This record gives sequence, C-alpha cells and structure tokens, in this order.
Amino acid sequence: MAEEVKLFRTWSSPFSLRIVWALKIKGVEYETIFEDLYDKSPSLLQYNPAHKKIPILVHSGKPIAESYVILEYIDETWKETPLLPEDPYERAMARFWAKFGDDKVLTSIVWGVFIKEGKEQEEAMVEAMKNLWLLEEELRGKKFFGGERIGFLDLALGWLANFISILEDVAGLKIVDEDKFPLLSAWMKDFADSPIIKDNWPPRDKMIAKFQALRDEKLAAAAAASK
Amino acid sequence: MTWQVNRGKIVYSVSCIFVVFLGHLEEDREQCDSEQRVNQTATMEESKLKLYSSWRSSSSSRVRIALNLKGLKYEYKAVNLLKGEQFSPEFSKLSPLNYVPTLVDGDMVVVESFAILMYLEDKYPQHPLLPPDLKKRAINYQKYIAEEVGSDEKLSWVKHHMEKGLAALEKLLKDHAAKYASGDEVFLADLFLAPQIHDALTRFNVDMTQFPLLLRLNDAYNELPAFQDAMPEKQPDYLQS
Repeated sequence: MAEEVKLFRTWSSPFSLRIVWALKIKGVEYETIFEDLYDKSPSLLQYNPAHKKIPILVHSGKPIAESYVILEYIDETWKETPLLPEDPYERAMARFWAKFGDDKVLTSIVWGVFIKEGKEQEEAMVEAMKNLWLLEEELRGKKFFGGERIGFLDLALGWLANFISILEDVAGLKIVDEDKFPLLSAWMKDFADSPIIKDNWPPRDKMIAKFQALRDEKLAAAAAASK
Repeated sequence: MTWQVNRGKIVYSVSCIFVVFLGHLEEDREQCDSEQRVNQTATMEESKLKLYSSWRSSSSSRVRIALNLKGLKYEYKAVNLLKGEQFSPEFSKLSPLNYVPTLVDGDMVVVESFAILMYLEDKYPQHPLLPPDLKKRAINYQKYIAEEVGSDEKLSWVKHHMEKGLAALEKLLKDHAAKYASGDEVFLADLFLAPQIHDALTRFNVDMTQFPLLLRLNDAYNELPAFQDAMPEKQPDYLQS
C-alpha cells in the first residue's frame, strides 16, 4: 500500500520503539514526527484526544493510539513477517504476557524499584523478582518469546533488553542477575543485538541523564511528602 | 531534590526553584535544603550571557523578551528537545534539572523561567519588569496565571480548553489593562502573555476575534522589537526541531 504512514513518537519512549521495530521488520516506509511531551503539538492532541499520549500511528489520515493496538493493526495491515502466531491459543498467550509485561513487570520495576530507595525498594524488588521469574519460565525451551524468531511478545517485552541496564546503572543495583535469570539474560542479549533492533536504541548517555533526573525528582518528592 | 553540593556551589532556592553556582558537579550527592549556602569558587569565567533555549518554548520566549527589553546581548544556545538534547552529558552537567530555558551568566547558572526573570531583574535593573506600585506589582505576579493557560501538559490543550483559558484572561485583564496588560508600560505580565497569545494564534489557530483585549495587546506587542525579536520564528533554531 502506498498510503502515507506517520509515527508520532519521542526520542526515548519504549512504547514508541515497539512501533518502530514493527514497521521496520515489515519494511513499511513511514515518516517520524518527534514530540515534546511538555509541549504537545496540536496534531498530537487532535489525533489522540482520549489519552494525549504517544505513540500514535497515522495511516492514510486515520490515527491509531495505544502501542499494542497499533502493533496488531500493523500485523493485520502488512501481512509479511507476521508478528502474532497463527494458533488462537498462542495468540492469546502472546497478548496475555504482553499485558503482564506492561501492567506488572514495567510497573514493578520502574514505579516500584527504580524510583524508591531503602526498605521500600527492597520490598518492591521482591515483587519485581516474582514478575521476572514468570517471564523466565515463559522462555523455557525457546530462543525468543516468539519461538525461533522475534515476534509480538518480543517486541512487547523488548524494552527490558536495553532499559534494564540503564535503570541498573542509575539506581546502582542489579535487577536482572544472570545467575538468577539465565534465560532472560540470554534473551536480552540476543534481542538487543538482533538486526533492526540494534540500530534503533536511543542514545545511552541521554537515557542515563534522563532517568537520573527522573529518579532524583521522584525521591525528592517522596522525601518532601514524608515531612 | 537530592544534589551533589560541592565546592564552588551556591544553592539559592526560591520555593522549589534552584539557582546553582557553576562549580564542579561531582558524583556523590548531598541533601539540599531551602537555606542559602555560600561557597567560594576558584574559577571565574568571562561574564558573558548564554541562554540555552528552544525556539518553540514559550518559557524561553519570556526570557528572550526580558533580555531584549533590558538591552542585554547573549549567546543563543539551541537545545533540541525533540532529540532529547536537554539530556546530553554537557547540558546535564550544566543544568542538572535538564530544564530549558537555562541562563548562564559567567559563573552563575539559573534554571526555570520565573527564576531567570527575577535574577535578571535583580542584576540588570534597566527597564524594570515590575512596577514600583505594590498593587500593580501584585497584578503582575498574578498574570503568572498566563502560564497556567499556556501549552502545558497538565490541562487539556485542545482548542476548546485553550479558548476557555483565554476567555478567563480576557476577563481578568479588563480592569487593569491599558496600553499593556497592567498599565501603560510593559511589565512581567506582558512577558507571560505575549508568547501565549502568539501560540494561540499561530499554533492552535484560535479565533482571537472573540478576545478583543488580548488581540489589542498582541498588536501592541507586535510593535515592539524586543518582543518581535524574541518570537519563535526569529530564533536561530527555528524549524530545526
């Protein structure tokens, strides 16, 4: 299809990256529009009034928002290199674990462990570990979550492969220990070094600065609130 | 806000605004409280004004207007927010809050537009941004409200809501405006209003004919080179991000 494809995203958002990966894996040509979330463009607000968030995919003038919704749209519209498996049960499992990734894994790591310290952080770490164990189990007998090659669930969880080490550097602790999570660690390396994926990570030094600033802000706010 | 406060640092806080004296930011961090702490600094760089700014940012616009009004020459340092340049190692060292605008005046680093405006007002008293009359001063602080009406993420920035905010401003200003927002001279309130009205017209295509007072003020701002030269279209990084 030669219709126009536009992607509204930011330089750092892991949710945006999922869409970049999907479009590139399928060889879809698209235009990137970068947004500043502190100064949202009229287009962003017009295309996604419900959430006012990125990523937003605009295909032939029609906007689609919410990264998993966009991924499925892309998979259904451009049928080469399918992302979701064929079997209905496998598809259900991919969707289930993708949702688990955002709802539980990301939440417990970023909003639990990463922005906390001391006792609170230790408690949050227990929760994060439980969630990561479940992902480790999901990888048993597989190279990627999608099987032999990268699929929907790999794209959904792909943020782990790059963001974890950044969060670990900034917070000064280990989250995905190779000894505790051998399969997950191996997957993180394989995914991060895969073609297309490896060329699209955001600049590491800026990510460190950004997440350092986020952690500082949250810790300070928590300290102020507890006074 | 946890900070590494080390030698060569002044931490001066105005509510939650920090003015950091440029020294050597190290890795170890120390709790920063609201008291003033003074340290001597060894290095004295040439006293030249540098403004880290993004062409589109209305908070940068305000500072650009102030610098122009006070006849202050400055070096424009473009920060591409879309590319995350505010998180670059160089800028992070300078401005740990990663905020734009950030002003550098020799050894002094000031972040957050209101703090910058107040710093400029203190250090460069020519063309005062605040009137001597207390009542009028208060009105100018109040027009800080204009920031709440701006392209801020917290409120919904579809045209409808922007119009509601502009309508509120139109009402608020009725009793005080003359040639400019708070009287016959340009003051702080105008610095907040001008970029906001500009954005409403150019970015959000608001029909400003429903706000005759704001439109009249906009015309007045358009006559002033200090304001015109500060607008997004005139900046070196215009359309580059």
